[in-house]
Amino acid sequence: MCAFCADRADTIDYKDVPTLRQYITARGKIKPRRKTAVCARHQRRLSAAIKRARHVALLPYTGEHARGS
Amino acid sequence: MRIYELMYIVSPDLDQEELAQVAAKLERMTEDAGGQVLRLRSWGRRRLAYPIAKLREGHYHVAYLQLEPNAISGLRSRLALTEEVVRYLLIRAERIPPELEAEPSGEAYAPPEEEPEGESIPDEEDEDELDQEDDEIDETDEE
Repeated sequence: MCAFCADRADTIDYKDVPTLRQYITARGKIKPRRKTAVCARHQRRLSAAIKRARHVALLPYTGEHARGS
Repeated sequence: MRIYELMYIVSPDLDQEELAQVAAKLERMTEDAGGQVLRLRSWGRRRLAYPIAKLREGHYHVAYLQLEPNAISGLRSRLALTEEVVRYLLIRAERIPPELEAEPSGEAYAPPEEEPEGESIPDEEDEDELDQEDDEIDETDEE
């Protein structure tokens, strides 16, 4: 069962950074469902939440280390 | 009338008074658009996950607004023109989240508060057309 279904989450909040962080890789990519076992519905909501969080710089678009240049 | 959630980030260089001015500006813009600011919370100063406009930190704010849907695009363009606001996110919310429900209205500028941990669920629809206004503000595309 998916972690969000277990919580009976309807929506996934983009402001909940600690939760969202669990679903991105060290490079900042959204983890695939096959790694996280999130159901299709929640994966869609999750990815939308992560993208919103990125927009307001709560999460990186890319890994913290991959910056520099 | 619908409820919207607005998150906006202002430059960390502004002092409390200037932040209050930005809040007042937001209130004016919202009222000009025929709506009202229901709640306004400050998250305080926070490190940005990536630099925006050469800034590495910002003052985060979350507001709940009540507006007519057709007033949104006008408010968006005014926000985009507000120089103090370096980034914003304006999305639909079904209601004010319960933890802010009980508090007095957003008239007064709320003092900074720690980042909400865990649940703060401002019920937003996710396949929402108000989502990610990528073209409204320049994304920081580097490389």
